Amino acid sequence: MRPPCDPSKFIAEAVKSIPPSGIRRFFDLVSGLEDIISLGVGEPDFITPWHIREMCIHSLEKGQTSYTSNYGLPELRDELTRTYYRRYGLDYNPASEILITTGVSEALDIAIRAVVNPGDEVIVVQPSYVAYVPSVILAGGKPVIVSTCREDDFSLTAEALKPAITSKTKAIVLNFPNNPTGAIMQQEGMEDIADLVVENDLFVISDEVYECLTYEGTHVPFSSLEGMKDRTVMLNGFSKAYAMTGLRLGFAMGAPDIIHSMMMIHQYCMLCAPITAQVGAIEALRNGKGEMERMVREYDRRRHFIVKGFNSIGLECCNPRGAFYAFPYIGGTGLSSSDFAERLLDEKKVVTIPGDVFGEAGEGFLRCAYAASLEDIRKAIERMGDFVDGLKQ
Amino acid sequence: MDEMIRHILEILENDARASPEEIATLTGMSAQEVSQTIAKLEDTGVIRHYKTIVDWDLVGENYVYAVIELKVTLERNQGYQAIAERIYKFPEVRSVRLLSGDYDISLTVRGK
Ligand SMILES: Cc1ncc(COP(=O)(O)O)c(C=O)c1O
Repeated sequence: MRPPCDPSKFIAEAVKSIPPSGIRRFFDLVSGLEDIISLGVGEPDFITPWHIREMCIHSLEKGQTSYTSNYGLPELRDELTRTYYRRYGLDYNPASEILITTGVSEALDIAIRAVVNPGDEVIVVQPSYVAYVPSVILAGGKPVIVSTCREDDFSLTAEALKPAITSKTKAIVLNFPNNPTGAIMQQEGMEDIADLVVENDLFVISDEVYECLTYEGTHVPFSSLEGMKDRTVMLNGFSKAYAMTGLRLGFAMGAPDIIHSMMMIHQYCMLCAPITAQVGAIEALRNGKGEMERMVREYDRRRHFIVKGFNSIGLECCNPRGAFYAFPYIGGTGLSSSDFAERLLDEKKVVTIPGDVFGEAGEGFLRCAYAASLEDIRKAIERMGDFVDGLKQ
Repeated sequence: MDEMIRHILEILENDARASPEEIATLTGMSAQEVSQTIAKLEDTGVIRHYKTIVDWDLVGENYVYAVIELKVTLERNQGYQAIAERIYKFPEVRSVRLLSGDYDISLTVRGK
Protein backbone atom coordinates (compact mmCIF):
# COMPACT_ATOMS: atom_id res chain seq x y z
CA MET A 1 0.00 0.00 0.00
CA ARG A 2 1.26 3.46 -0.84
CA PRO A 3 1.65 5.77 2.16
CA PRO A 4 -0.90 8.57 2.85
CA CYS A 5 0.28 12.09 2.21
CA ASP A 6 -0.23 15.54 3.61
CA PRO A 7 -0.99 17.71 0.58
CA SER A 8 -0.30 20.94 2.48
CA LYS A 9 3.42 20.36 2.09
CA PHE A 10 3.05 21.04 -1.64
CA ILE A 11 1.82 24.57 -1.08
CA ALA A 12 4.20 27.29 -2.16
CA GLU A 13 5.85 29.49 0.47
CA ALA A 14 4.62 32.68 -1.17
CA VAL A 15 1.01 31.52 -0.88
CA LYS A 16 1.46 30.45 2.73
CA SER A 17 2.81 33.88 3.57
CA ILE A 18 -0.36 35.67 2.45
CA PRO A 19 -2.48 36.73 5.40
CA PRO A 20 -6.16 35.69 5.19
CA SER A 21 -8.50 38.42 3.95
CA GLY A 22 -9.95 40.24 6.94
CA ILE A 23 -13.12 40.86 4.96
CA ARG A 24 -13.73 37.16 4.37
CA ARG A 25 -13.21 36.39 8.04
CA PHE A 26 -15.90 38.91 8.81
CA PHE A 27 -18.40 37.48 6.37
CA ASP A 28 -17.91 34.09 7.95
CA LEU A 29 -19.05 35.60 11.25
CA VAL A 30 -22.19 36.91 9.62
CA SER A 31 -23.46 33.83 7.86
CA GLY A 32 -26.49 32.37 9.55
CA LEU A 33 -27.46 35.48 11.52
CA GLU A 34 -30.84 37.15 10.94
CA ASP A 35 -32.05 40.76 10.85
CA ILE A 36 -28.61 41.86 9.76
CA ILE A 37 -27.97 45.20 8.12
CA SER A 38 -24.88 45.12 6.00
CA LEU A 39 -22.66 48.05 5.22
CA GLY A 40 -20.00 45.45 4.59
CA VAL A 41 -19.74 44.52 0.95
CA GLY A 42 -18.11 46.87 -1.50
CA GLU A 43 -20.63 46.12 -4.18
CA PRO A 44 -23.40 48.23 -5.73
CA ASP A 45 -26.88 47.33 -4.49
CA PHE A 46 -28.14 48.10 -7.99
CA ILE A 47 -28.62 45.48 -10.64
CA THR A 48 -26.82 46.01 -13.95
CA PRO A 49 -29.00 48.41 -16.01
CA TRP A 50 -31.49 46.48 -18.13
CA HIS A 51 -30.27 47.75 -21.50
CA ILE A 52 -26.86 46.28 -20.71
CA ARG A 53 -28.28 42.96 -19.54
CA GLU A 54 -30.55 42.89 -22.58
CA MET A 55 -27.57 43.33 -24.88
CA CYS A 56 -25.80 40.43 -23.14
CA ILE A 57 -28.89 38.25 -23.52
CA HIS A 58 -29.23 39.21 -27.16
CA SER A 59 -25.61 38.28 -27.82
CA LEU A 60 -26.20 34.88 -26.26
CA GLU A 61 -29.31 34.39 -28.39
CA LYS A 62 -27.24 35.18 -31.46
CA GLY A 63 -24.75 32.55 -30.35
CA GLN A 64 -21.90 34.93 -29.52
CA THR A 65 -20.12 32.49 -27.23
CA SER A 66 -16.64 32.28 -28.71
CA TYR A 67 -13.24 33.39 -27.50
CA THR A 68 -12.29 36.91 -28.48
CA SER A 69 -8.91 38.36 -29.35
CA ASN A 70 -6.55 38.09 -26.38
CA TYR A 71 -6.69 41.86 -26.18
CA GLY A 72 -10.50 41.88 -26.17
CA LEU A 73 -13.13 42.80 -28.74
CA PRO A 74 -11.86 45.55 -31.08
CA GLU A 75 -15.19 47.42 -30.81
CA LEU A 76 -14.81 47.58 -27.05
CA ARG A 77 -11.25 48.89 -27.28
CA ASP A 78 -12.37 51.46 -29.88
CA GLU A 79 -15.16 52.55 -27.57
CA LEU A 80 -12.71 52.90 -24.65
CA THR A 81 -10.36 55.00 -26.77
CA ARG A 82 -13.23 57.31 -27.69
CA THR A 83 -14.47 57.48 -24.10
CA TYR A 84 -11.12 58.47 -22.61
CA TYR A 85 -10.43 60.93 -25.38
CA ARG A 86 -13.79 62.56 -24.79
CA ARG A 87 -13.46 62.61 -21.00
CA TYR A 88 -9.83 63.66 -20.57
CA GLY A 89 -8.28 64.17 -23.98
CA LEU A 90 -6.24 61.01 -23.34
CA ASP A 91 -5.26 59.25 -26.52
CA TYR A 92 -4.80 55.47 -26.23
CA ASN A 93 -4.29 53.40 -29.35
CA PRO A 94 -6.96 50.66 -29.33
CA ALA A 95 -4.65 48.29 -31.19
CA SER A 96 -1.72 48.39 -28.81
CA GLU A 97 -2.45 50.31 -25.63
CA ILE A 98 -5.58 48.66 -24.25
CA LEU A 99 -6.09 45.20 -22.78
CA ILE A 100 -9.51 43.91 -21.72
CA THR A 101 -9.30 41.82 -18.54
CA THR A 102 -11.43 39.74 -16.23
CA GLY A 103 -12.12 42.53 -13.79
CA VAL A 104 -9.64 44.98 -12.33
CA SER A 105 -8.61 42.04 -10.15
CA GLU A 106 -6.92 40.31 -13.05
CA ALA A 107 -5.56 43.55 -14.48
CA LEU A 108 -3.93 44.29 -11.13
CA ASP A 109 -2.34 40.86 -10.87
CA ILE A 110 -0.88 40.87 -14.36
CA ALA A 111 0.22 44.50 -14.20
CA ILE A 112 2.25 43.72 -11.11
CA ARG A 113 3.59 40.49 -12.53
CA ALA A 114 4.50 42.29 -15.75
CA VAL A 115 6.85 44.73 -14.03
CA VAL A 116 8.06 43.15 -10.78
CA ASN A 117 11.28 41.14 -10.57
CA PRO A 118 11.99 39.07 -7.45
CA GLY A 119 13.15 41.44 -4.72
CA ASP A 120 11.77 44.60 -6.33
CA GLU A 121 10.06 46.90 -3.90
CA VAL A 122 6.55 48.04 -4.69
CA ILE A 123 5.04 50.88 -2.71
CA VAL A 124 1.48 50.28 -1.59
CA VAL A 125 -0.39 53.25 -0.17
CA GLN A 126 -2.62 52.28 2.75
CA PRO A 127 -5.37 52.19 3.88
CA SER A 128 -6.24 50.49 0.61
CA TYR A 129 -7.85 47.62 -1.16
CA VAL A 130 -6.89 44.23 0.25
CA ALA A 131 -5.52 42.76 -3.00
CA TYR A 132 -2.46 44.96 -3.46
CA VAL A 133 -0.10 43.49 -0.88
CA PRO A 134 -0.83 39.82 -1.71
CA SER A 135 -0.48 40.52 -5.44
CA VAL A 136 2.96 42.02 -4.87
CA ILE A 137 3.99 39.09 -2.67
CA LEU A 138 2.76 36.51 -5.19
CA ALA A 139 4.80 38.24 -7.88
CA GLY A 140 7.91 37.85 -5.72
CA GLY A 141 8.07 41.55 -4.92
CA LYS A 142 8.39 43.24 -1.57
CA PRO A 143 5.48 45.45 -0.55
CA VAL A 144 6.53 48.68 1.14
CA ILE A 145 3.73 50.45 2.96
CA VAL A 146 3.15 54.18 2.90
CA SER A 147 0.34 55.45 5.09
CA THR A 148 -2.12 58.25 4.50
CA CYS A 149 -3.87 59.89 7.40
CA ARG A 150 -7.06 61.62 8.39
CA GLU A 151 -5.28 64.98 8.75
CA ASP A 152 -4.54 64.90 5.00
CA ASP A 153 -8.05 63.66 4.19
CA PHE A 154 -6.32 60.36 3.34
CA SER A 155 -4.75 61.72 0.19
CA LEU A 156 -1.12 60.90 -0.52
CA THR A 157 1.52 63.55 0.04
CA ALA A 158 4.98 63.67 -1.47
CA GLU A 159 6.40 64.05 2.08
CA ALA A 160 4.85 60.74 3.10
CA LEU A 161 5.94 58.99 -0.06
CA LYS A 162 9.53 60.19 -0.27
CA PRO A 163 11.08 58.31 2.69
CA ALA A 164 9.71 54.99 1.41
CA ILE A 165 11.56 55.19 -1.89
CA THR A 166 14.82 53.25 -2.10
CA SER A 167 17.10 52.18 -4.92
CA LYS A 168 15.06 48.98 -5.13
CA THR A 169 11.70 50.69 -5.58
CA LYS A 170 10.21 49.71 -8.90
CA ALA A 171 6.61 50.78 -8.80
CA ILE A 172 3.88 52.36 -6.77
CA VAL A 173 0.24 51.30 -6.56
CA LEU A 174 -2.22 54.18 -6.31
CA ASN A 175 -5.97 53.99 -5.77
CA PHE A 176 -7.95 57.20 -5.94
CA PRO A 177 -10.90 57.48 -5.43
CA ASN A 178 -9.91 55.19 -2.60
CA ASN A 179 -11.37 52.06 -1.10
CA PRO A 180 -11.83 52.23 1.95
CA THR A 181 -11.46 55.95 2.71
CA GLY A 182 -13.31 57.54 -0.22
CA ALA A 183 -10.39 59.95 -0.60
CA ILE A 184 -9.58 61.55 -3.91
CA MET A 185 -6.43 63.41 -4.94
CA GLN A 186 -6.31 67.02 -6.07
CA GLN A 187 -4.31 67.68 -9.20
CA GLU A 188 -1.72 69.73 -7.26
CA GLY A 189 -0.91 66.86 -4.93
CA MET A 190 -0.72 64.48 -7.85
CA GLU A 191 1.78 66.71 -9.63
CA ASP A 192 4.07 66.47 -6.59
CA ILE A 193 3.81 62.68 -6.70
CA ALA A 194 4.53 62.75 -10.44
CA ASP A 195 7.72 64.75 -9.79
CA LEU A 196 8.90 62.10 -7.33
CA VAL A 197 8.01 59.36 -9.78
CA VAL A 198 10.21 60.93 -12.45
CA GLU A 199 13.06 61.75 -10.06
CA ASN A 200 13.22 58.15 -8.93
CA ASP A 201 12.33 56.58 -12.25
CA LEU A 202 9.29 54.69 -10.96
CA PHE A 203 6.35 53.00 -12.62
CA VAL A 204 2.77 53.72 -11.49
CA ILE A 205 -0.07 51.23 -11.29
CA SER A 206 -3.16 53.37 -10.89
CA ASP A 207 -6.35 51.56 -9.90
CA GLU A 208 -9.09 53.98 -10.91
CA VAL A 209 -12.03 51.62 -10.65
CA TYR A 210 -14.03 54.28 -8.74
CA GLU A 211 -13.33 56.98 -11.35
CA CYS A 212 -16.97 57.60 -12.19
CA LEU A 213 -17.92 57.72 -8.53
CA THR A 214 -16.38 61.12 -7.90
CA TYR A 215 -18.83 63.46 -6.22
CA GLU A 216 -16.81 66.58 -5.61
CA GLY A 217 -14.40 67.99 -8.14
CA THR A 218 -13.47 66.03 -11.23
CA HIS A 219 -11.42 62.89 -11.46
CA VAL A 220 -7.90 63.32 -12.78
CA PRO A 221 -6.39 60.14 -14.24
CA PHE A 222 -2.78 59.86 -13.13
CA SER A 223 -1.81 59.17 -16.74
CA SER A 224 -3.24 62.53 -17.82
CA LEU A 225 -0.53 64.39 -15.90
CA GLU A 226 2.24 65.69 -18.09
CA GLY A 227 4.80 63.01 -18.84
CA MET A 228 2.94 60.29 -16.94
CA LYS A 229 1.16 58.42 -19.73
CA ASP A 230 4.02 56.04 -20.52
CA ARG A 231 4.94 55.58 -16.85
CA THR A 232 1.46 54.63 -15.78
CA VAL A 233 -0.80 51.70 -16.34
CA MET A 234 -4.38 52.73 -15.64
CA LEU A 235 -6.62 49.97 -14.36
CA ASN A 236 -10.33 50.34 -14.49
CA GLY A 237 -13.47 48.35 -15.02
CA PHE A 238 -17.21 48.11 -15.14
CA SER A 239 -17.96 46.58 -11.71
CA LYS A 240 -18.63 49.75 -9.78
CA ALA A 241 -19.74 52.42 -12.28
CA TYR A 242 -22.17 50.16 -14.13
CA ALA A 243 -23.04 47.76 -11.30
CA MET A 244 -21.51 44.85 -13.24
CA THR A 245 -19.48 43.12 -10.51
CA GLY A 246 -20.45 39.56 -11.39
CA LEU A 247 -19.87 40.04 -15.09
CA ARG A 248 -16.14 40.36 -14.36
CA LEU A 249 -14.89 42.99 -16.74
CA GLY A 250 -12.01 45.37 -16.49
CA PHE A 251 -9.29 46.89 -18.62
CA ALA A 252 -5.77 48.23 -18.54
CA MET A 253 -4.47 51.18 -20.52
CA GLY A 254 -0.81 51.97 -20.89
CA ALA A 255 2.26 52.06 -23.08
CA PRO A 256 2.38 49.38 -25.82
CA ASP A 257 5.32 47.54 -24.20
CA ILE A 258 3.55 47.29 -20.88
CA ILE A 259 0.22 46.27 -22.37
CA HIS A 260 1.92 43.71 -24.57
CA SER A 261 3.74 42.21 -21.58
CA MET A 262 0.52 42.04 -19.63
CA MET A 263 -1.10 40.36 -22.61
CA MET A 264 1.69 37.76 -22.61
CA ILE A 265 0.58 36.68 -19.14
CA HIS A 266 -3.12 37.16 -19.80
CA GLN A 267 -3.10 34.97 -22.92
CA TYR A 268 -1.97 31.98 -20.85
CA CYS A 269 -3.78 32.50 -17.58
CA MET A 270 -7.05 33.91 -18.92
CA LEU A 271 -6.90 33.73 -22.72
CA CYS A 272 -9.55 36.42 -22.96
CA ALA A 273 -12.20 38.12 -20.85
CA PRO A 274 -15.73 36.67 -21.06
CA ILE A 275 -17.31 37.69 -24.35
CA THR A 276 -20.80 38.25 -22.93
CA ALA A 277 -19.44 40.78 -20.48
CA GLN A 278 -17.46 42.48 -23.24
CA VAL A 279 -20.62 42.90 -25.28
CA GLY A 280 -22.35 44.37 -22.24
CA ALA A 281 -19.45 46.74 -21.69
CA ILE A 282 -19.71 48.09 -25.25
CA GLU A 283 -23.36 48.86 -24.57
CA ALA A 284 -22.46 50.44 -21.23
CA LEU A 285 -19.99 52.82 -22.88
CA ARG A 286 -22.27 53.64 -25.80
CA ASN A 287 -25.57 54.14 -24.01
CA GLY A 288 -25.03 53.74 -20.27
CA LYS A 289 -24.16 57.27 -19.24
CA GLY A 290 -27.67 58.24 -18.14
CA GLU A 291 -28.23 55.18 -15.95
CA MET A 292 -24.74 55.41 -14.52
CA GLU A 293 -25.19 59.04 -13.58
CA ARG A 294 -28.53 58.23 -12.00
CA MET A 295 -26.84 55.62 -9.77
CA VAL A 296 -24.05 58.04 -8.94
CA ARG A 297 -26.58 60.68 -7.86
CA GLU A 298 -28.25 58.11 -5.65
CA TYR A 299 -24.90 57.24 -4.02
CA ASP A 300 -24.22 60.92 -3.59
CA ARG A 301 -27.43 61.40 -1.59
CA ARG A 302 -26.63 58.41 0.59
CA ARG A 303 -23.15 59.84 1.08
CA HIS A 304 -24.51 63.09 2.45
CA PHE A 305 -26.89 61.17 4.63
CA ILE A 306 -24.39 58.72 6.11
CA VAL A 307 -21.68 61.30 6.81
CA LYS A 308 -24.15 63.54 8.60
CA GLY A 309 -25.48 60.48 10.43
CA PHE A 310 -22.09 59.40 11.73
CA ASN A 311 -21.17 62.86 12.87
CA SER A 312 -24.54 63.17 14.64
CA ILE A 313 -23.92 60.02 16.70
CA GLY A 314 -20.47 61.22 17.68
CA LEU A 315 -18.40 59.24 15.20
CA GLU A 316 -16.28 61.80 13.46
CA CYS A 317 -16.36 61.16 9.74
CA CYS A 318 -14.49 63.17 7.16
CA ASN A 319 -16.08 63.80 3.85
CA PRO A 320 -15.48 60.96 1.36
CA ARG A 321 -15.35 62.63 -2.05
CA GLY A 322 -15.40 59.45 -4.10
CA ALA A 323 -16.16 55.70 -4.18
CA PHE A 324 -19.02 54.47 -1.99
CA TYR A 325 -17.42 54.17 1.42
CA ALA A 326 -17.56 56.26 4.56
CA PHE A 327 -14.66 55.82 6.97
CA PRO A 328 -15.72 57.09 10.39
CA TYR A 329 -13.22 57.36 13.23
CA ILE A 330 -14.11 55.10 16.13
CA GLY A 331 -10.82 55.40 18.04
CA GLY A 332 -12.44 57.80 20.51
CA THR A 333 -14.61 55.00 21.88
CA GLY A 334 -11.59 53.20 23.27
CA LEU A 335 -12.27 50.09 21.22
CA SER A 336 -10.05 48.78 18.47
CA SER A 337 -11.52 48.60 14.98
CA SER A 338 -12.04 44.87 15.08
CA ASP A 339 -13.49 44.88 18.63
CA PHE A 340 -15.86 47.64 17.60
CA ALA A 341 -16.93 45.87 14.42
CA GLU A 342 -17.32 42.49 16.10
CA ARG A 343 -19.31 43.83 19.04
CA LEU A 344 -21.44 45.96 16.74
CA LEU A 345 -22.27 42.88 14.75
CA ASP A 346 -22.89 40.83 17.84
CA GLU A 347 -24.98 43.34 19.75
CA LYS A 348 -26.67 45.37 17.03
CA LYS A 349 -26.46 43.17 13.94
CA VAL A 350 -24.78 45.76 11.77
CA VAL A 351 -21.98 44.63 9.48
CA THR A 352 -19.09 47.00 8.93
CA ILE A 353 -15.48 46.25 8.10
CA PRO A 354 -12.75 47.06 10.64
CA GLY A 355 -10.37 49.61 9.15
CA ASP A 356 -7.20 47.68 9.98
CA VAL A 357 -8.18 45.11 7.36
CA PHE A 358 -6.98 47.73 4.86
CA GLY A 359 -3.64 48.18 6.58
CA GLU A 360 -2.39 49.37 9.93
CA ALA A 361 -3.17 52.95 8.97
CA GLY A 362 -6.84 51.97 9.01
CA GLU A 363 -6.79 51.09 12.72
CA GLY A 364 -9.24 53.28 14.59
CA PHE A 365 -11.62 53.45 11.64
CA LEU A 366 -14.51 51.51 10.24
CA ARG A 367 -15.34 51.02 6.58
CA CYS A 368 -19.04 51.45 5.92
CA ALA A 369 -20.22 50.94 2.36
CA TYR A 370 -23.16 53.13 1.50
CA ALA A 371 -24.03 51.05 -1.53
CA ALA A 372 -27.07 50.03 0.52
CA SER A 373 -30.62 51.37 0.56
CA LEU A 374 -31.25 54.63 2.38
CA GLU A 375 -33.61 52.76 4.67
CA ASP A 376 -30.88 50.31 5.67
CA ILE A 377 -28.39 53.11 6.17
CA ARG A 378 -30.88 54.95 8.38
CA LYS A 379 -31.41 51.84 10.52
CA ALA A 380 -27.71 51.09 10.67
CA ILE A 381 -26.94 54.60 11.94
CA GLU A 382 -29.66 54.30 14.58
CA ARG A 383 -28.30 51.01 15.80
CA MET A 384 -24.76 52.31 15.77
CA GLY A 385 -25.90 55.37 17.73
CA ASP A 386 -27.39 53.07 20.37
CA PHE A 387 -24.21 51.06 20.42
CA VAL A 388 -22.00 54.11 20.88
CA ASP A 389 -24.28 55.43 23.63
CA GLY A 390 -24.07 52.04 25.34
CA LEU A 391 -20.27 52.22 25.35
CA LYS A 392 -20.34 55.50 27.24
CA GLN A 393 -22.23 53.99 30.18
CA MET B 1 -30.48 71.11 -15.74
CA ASP B 2 -29.04 72.16 -12.41
CA GLU B 3 -27.67 69.11 -10.57
CA MET B 4 -29.44 70.11 -7.36
CA ILE B 5 -32.80 70.44 -9.10
CA ARG B 6 -32.31 66.98 -10.52
CA HIS B 7 -31.58 65.63 -7.02
CA ILE B 8 -34.70 67.27 -5.59
CA LEU B 9 -36.95 65.99 -8.38
CA GLU B 10 -35.60 62.45 -8.13
CA ILE B 11 -36.13 62.41 -4.37
CA LEU B 12 -39.69 63.77 -4.60
CA GLU B 13 -40.59 61.53 -7.49
CA ASN B 14 -39.70 58.62 -5.26
CA ASP B 15 -41.27 60.01 -2.09
CA ALA B 16 -43.58 63.00 -2.39
CA ARG B 17 -43.58 63.42 1.38
CA ALA B 18 -39.83 63.91 1.76
CA SER B 19 -39.49 67.06 3.87
CA PRO B 20 -37.20 69.96 3.00
CA GLU B 21 -35.05 68.96 6.00
CA GLU B 22 -34.72 65.40 4.74
CA ILE B 23 -33.90 66.59 1.26
CA ALA B 24 -31.36 68.99 2.73
CA THR B 25 -29.63 66.09 4.49
CA LEU B 26 -29.46 64.11 1.28
CA THR B 27 -28.10 66.89 -0.87
CA GLY B 28 -25.99 69.05 1.39
CA MET B 29 -28.19 72.10 0.66
CA SER B 30 -29.86 74.09 3.42
CA ALA B 31 -33.52 73.36 4.16
CA GLN B 32 -34.36 76.91 3.21
CA GLU B 33 -32.69 76.58 -0.19
CA VAL B 34 -34.60 73.35 -0.73
CA SER B 35 -37.94 74.97 0.15
CA GLN B 36 -37.27 77.88 -2.15
CA THR B 37 -36.28 75.60 -5.01
CA ILE B 38 -39.36 73.43 -4.54
CA ALA B 39 -41.61 76.50 -4.48
CA LYS B 40 -40.08 77.63 -7.76
CA LEU B 41 -40.54 74.18 -9.29
CA GLU B 42 -44.19 74.23 -8.22
CA ASP B 43 -44.74 77.74 -9.56
CA THR B 44 -43.27 76.96 -12.93
CA GLY B 45 -45.32 73.76 -13.22
CA VAL B 46 -42.32 71.42 -13.22
CA ILE B 47 -43.84 69.80 -10.16
CA ARG B 48 -47.45 69.39 -11.20
CA HIS B 49 -48.99 67.60 -8.30
CA TYR B 50 -48.30 65.28 -5.35
CA LYS B 51 -50.06 61.93 -5.46
CA THR B 52 -50.53 58.86 -3.34
CA ILE B 53 -50.26 55.36 -4.71
CA VAL B 54 -53.10 53.34 -3.20
CA ASP B 55 -53.47 49.60 -3.19
CA TRP B 56 -57.26 49.51 -3.49
CA ASP B 57 -57.30 45.71 -3.41
CA LEU B 58 -56.25 45.78 0.23
CA VAL B 59 -59.33 47.73 1.28
CA GLY B 60 -61.61 45.44 -0.68
CA GLU B 61 -62.13 47.61 -3.72
CA ASN B 62 -61.63 45.12 -6.48
CA TYR B 63 -61.14 47.28 -9.50
CA VAL B 64 -60.43 45.86 -12.89
CA TYR B 65 -58.49 47.69 -15.53
CA ALA B 66 -58.83 47.54 -19.30
CA VAL B 67 -56.82 48.98 -22.12
CA ILE B 68 -58.98 50.15 -25.01
CA GLU B 69 -57.66 51.16 -28.37
CA LEU B 70 -59.79 53.44 -30.51
CA LYS B 71 -59.85 54.37 -34.14
CA VAL B 72 -61.65 57.65 -34.63
CA THR B 73 -62.93 59.62 -37.57
CA LEU B 74 -62.27 63.30 -37.19
CA GLU B 75 -65.11 65.77 -37.64
CA ARG B 76 -64.52 69.08 -39.26
CA ASN B 77 -62.69 71.59 -37.06
CA GLN B 78 -62.04 68.97 -34.40
CA GLY B 79 -58.58 67.54 -33.77
CA TYR B 80 -57.55 64.48 -31.76
CA GLN B 81 -56.85 66.74 -28.82
CA ALA B 82 -60.51 67.72 -28.51
CA ILE B 83 -61.65 64.09 -28.63
CA ALA B 84 -59.06 63.08 -26.07
CA GLU B 85 -60.24 65.86 -23.78
CA ARG B 86 -63.86 64.74 -24.06
CA ILE B 87 -62.99 61.16 -23.27
CA TYR B 88 -60.81 62.11 -20.36
CA LYS B 89 -63.72 63.75 -18.56
CA PHE B 90 -65.15 60.33 -17.71
CA PRO B 91 -63.90 59.49 -14.21
CA GLU B 92 -63.34 55.85 -15.15
CA VAL B 93 -60.68 56.90 -17.60
CA ARG B 94 -57.24 56.76 -16.00
CA SER B 95 -55.10 57.66 -18.98
CA VAL B 96 -55.42 58.74 -22.57
CA ARG B 97 -52.65 58.52 -25.12
CA LEU B 98 -52.52 59.60 -28.72
CA LEU B 99 -50.99 56.91 -30.88
CA SER B 100 -49.55 56.58 -34.32
CA GLY B 101 -50.12 53.33 -36.16
CA ASP B 102 -53.26 51.21 -36.49
CA TYR B 103 -55.15 53.03 -33.75
CA ASP B 104 -55.43 56.69 -32.87
CA ILE B 105 -56.09 56.69 -29.16
CA SER B 106 -55.31 54.30 -26.31
CA LEU B 107 -57.25 54.48 -23.03
CA THR B 108 -56.94 52.73 -19.74
CA VAL B 109 -60.19 52.54 -17.85
CA ARG B 110 -60.93 51.40 -14.34
CA GLY B 111 -64.19 49.75 -13.28
CA LYS B 112 -65.57 47.18 -10.89
C1 LIG C 1 -10.00 49.43 -5.28
C2 LIG C 1 -10.52 48.22 -5.94
N1 LIG C 1 -9.86 47.69 -6.98
C3 LIG C 1 -10.31 46.59 -7.61
C4 LIG C 1 -11.46 45.94 -7.20
C5 LIG C 1 -11.89 44.72 -7.94
O1 LIG C 1 -12.66 45.08 -9.05
P1 LIG C 1 -13.16 44.05 -10.14
O2 LIG C 1 -14.56 43.66 -9.79
O3 LIG C 1 -13.12 44.85 -11.42
O4 LIG C 1 -12.24 42.90 -10.17
C6 LIG C 1 -12.18 46.46 -6.13
C7 LIG C 1 -13.40 45.78 -5.66
O5 LIG C 1 -13.85 45.94 -4.55
C8 LIG C 1 -11.70 47.63 -5.50
O6 LIG C 1 -12.35 48.16 -4.45
